Amino acid sequence: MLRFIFFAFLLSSSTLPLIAQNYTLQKAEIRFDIENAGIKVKGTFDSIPSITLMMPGNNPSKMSISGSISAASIHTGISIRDKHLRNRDYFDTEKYPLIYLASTSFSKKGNALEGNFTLQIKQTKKPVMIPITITKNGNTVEMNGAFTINRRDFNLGGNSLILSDSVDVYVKAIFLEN
Amino acid sequence: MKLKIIAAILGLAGFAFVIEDEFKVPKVWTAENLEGLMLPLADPTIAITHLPDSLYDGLEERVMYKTYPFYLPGTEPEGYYDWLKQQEPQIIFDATKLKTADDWIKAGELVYDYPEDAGPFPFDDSTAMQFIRQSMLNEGTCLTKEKIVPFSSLVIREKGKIEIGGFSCGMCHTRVMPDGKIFKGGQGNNTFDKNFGNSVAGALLDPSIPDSIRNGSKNSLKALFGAYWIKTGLQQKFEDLGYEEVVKSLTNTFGGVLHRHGTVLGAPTSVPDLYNIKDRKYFDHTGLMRHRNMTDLMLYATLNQQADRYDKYGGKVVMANWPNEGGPRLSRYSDAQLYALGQYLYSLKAPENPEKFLPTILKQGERLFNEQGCVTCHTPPLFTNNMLTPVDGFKVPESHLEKYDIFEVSVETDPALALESRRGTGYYKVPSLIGVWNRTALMHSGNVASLEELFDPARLSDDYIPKGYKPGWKATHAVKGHPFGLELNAADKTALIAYLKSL
Repeated sequence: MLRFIFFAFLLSSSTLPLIAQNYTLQKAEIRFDIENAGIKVKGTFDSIPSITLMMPGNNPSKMSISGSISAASIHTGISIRDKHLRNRDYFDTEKYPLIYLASTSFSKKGNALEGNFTLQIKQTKKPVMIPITITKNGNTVEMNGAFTINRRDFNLGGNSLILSDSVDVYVKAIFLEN
Repeated sequence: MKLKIIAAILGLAGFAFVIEDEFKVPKVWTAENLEGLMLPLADPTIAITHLPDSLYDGLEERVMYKTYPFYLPGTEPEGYYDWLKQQEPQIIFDATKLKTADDWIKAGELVYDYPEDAGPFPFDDSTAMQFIRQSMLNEGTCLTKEKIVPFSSLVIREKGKIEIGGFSCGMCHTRVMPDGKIFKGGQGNNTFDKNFGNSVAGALLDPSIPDSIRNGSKNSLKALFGAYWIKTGLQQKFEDLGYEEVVKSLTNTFGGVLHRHGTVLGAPTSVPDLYNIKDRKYFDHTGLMRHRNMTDLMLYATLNQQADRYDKYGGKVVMANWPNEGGPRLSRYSDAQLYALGQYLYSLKAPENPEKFLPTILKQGERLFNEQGCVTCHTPPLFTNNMLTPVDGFKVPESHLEKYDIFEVSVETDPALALESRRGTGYYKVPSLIGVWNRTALMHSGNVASLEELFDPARLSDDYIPKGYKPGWKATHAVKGHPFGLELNAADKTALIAYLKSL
C-alpha cells in the first residue's frame, strides 16, 4: 500500500453538529492530495468534525475558527493503506485520535484574507498560513482556503524516494447565518 | 632508473595484494557474525541457539567431486552407467586455484549445484529404475531437452561406485522452462515435496506397516515441521491430522512449493528466485535472517544446508543433537566454498521475459501499478521496499522499529507460516517482483499459481478452490489478503499484469 498522507476533513452534506456563535455549518469539504510515484493521490476523512466559528460583528478580520477531526477516519480508497496511515509511523490514531486546526489571527491583504492557524497532528504543532476567500450569498457564507504542509514536519512517515514530502490541502466550508 | 624499477615492483606487489585481498575468504561461523543474524521468533521467549564455533569447525568439510547428469531412467545414453563406473573420482573445487572474480563465480556455480549428500543409486536394479522412472513421470518431473533431471546429479566419489546426490541449492532454485531450457537461480519447479509425500505415503498408508512404525514416521515429520512451544493453529492441526491428510498436504504441492524444514504442514513456502539477491535485506519469506553483507548470505547457506539441524529452540533440540551430545556429525561447506557460492549468487541476474507487450499497454500498466498502490511496497528499482510487514495477530515490538526495516501494516494474508512455524518471526518480507513473469507459485505459501489468479477476487471466497497450494484436509481454501488491484476492470488487469510480467 502506499505511504501517502492524506489530510482530509470531509463533512457530509447533511446538517452537522456545528457549534457556532452565529453561524451553522451546512457543508464542508477539505481535500488533500500528495504525489506518489508521479501519481497524484487524493484522500478524505469520513468522520464528522467538530468546528467552532465565531465572527463578531460579521467582521471577517475578527473571526475565529477552531476544529478537530478524527484522524482514524482517513479514507484513501485502499483500505490497507488507510490502516497503515492510522499506525504509529503515520497518524498513530490510537494515541492521537484527533487532528486540530485553530486560527490565531486574520489579516486583510487587498481583497483577500489571510488566516494564521495552528495545525496540530500528533504532538506537533506548527503554524500554517491559509489564504481564505469568503463569499456571501444571502444568508450563507462560503469559505475556501488552500495550504501546503510538509508531512515530515509532523512526523508522518519517513523519508521516501517516491512519496512527496509536501501535501496540498484544500478547504471548503459553507455556513448558514443564524 | 633503479628507483623506477623498484617502484614498479612495489606497485605490482601492491596491485597483487589488492587483487588477493579482494577475494579474501572470511571466517564465516563466528559468534560475532552470528550475532544479530536472526530475527527473534514471533514468540521472543524462544531463543535460537546455533552450534558453537568449536563444534561447527569440527564438522566434516564437503569435498566436492565431479558430478554427472542424472537422466530420466531409460533415456540415458547407451552404456552410460558402464562408462560412469570407469570414471576416476575428480575433486572439482580447489580454492587455491581461484584467482579472478570469474574463477570464483564459476567455482560458486559448482557449489550451487553440488549435492549436500549422496547415496546409493540402484542403476543396476531394473525394477527400481523402472519405479523411479514411473514416479518421475507421474509427478511431472521437469526435464531438460536431453531428458536430464537437473535437480539431482550422479557423483563418483569412488571409482566404480555411482551415487546419486540431492539437496543442492539448485535442487530448489533451478527452473526448467517448458522448452527444457534451465534458469539457475529462478523459482525452482522441482516436484520435491510431491515426491516426498509419495514416499511418506508408503510409510503411513500401507496397511501392512505396523502402527508403531506409522506413528514413528509421523513423529519424524514433527522434527521437520514441529514447534513444540506452539500449541495452536497448524501445529495443533498437525497433531489431529489423519495419515491421509498428512500425505495429501505434501502431495498437494507442485513445482515451486514445498514444506522445507522449519515450516509447518499446511503452510509451505513458495520457492523464491535468487535474482538481485545482493540487494535484498532479508532472507526467507518470514525475514528470519538478515542480509547485512555477504557473510550473512554465507551463513544462511551453511545453516540451511545442514548446520541449522543442530539449532536449539528455547534450549531444546528439534532435529539433531549436537555432536558432543550424541548427535550425528553432519557435513558442512568450507568457508571458501561458501565464499564462492556467495560470489555466484551475487552474480545472478533475472532473465528477460521473452514475451513482449505493446508499449501503450506497459505504460497503462505502470500507471495502474502506481495508482493501485503497488509501488509503495514493490518500489523500483528492486520492486520491493526491502521491508517486513507484520502479520495479523502479531504486535510489532517497539524495539523492532529501530532494529529492522518494518513497514507496519499487515496485508492480511494467512499468518500461519509467520506465527505457527519455527521460521515464524511475525512478519512477511515484501518480495521483489523482478522476474515474477517466471514464477508459478505466488504468495508466501504458493496458494495462487499465476498473476491472473492473484487479481481474481474469487480467491477471497471460502468456497474457492485455489489453483496453487491448498492444505490436504481442505476441499476449498480461500486465499485471503493482499487485496490490491482486485477491483480493476478486465482491460486494466490485463495491462497491470503485462507490466508486472515485463519486470
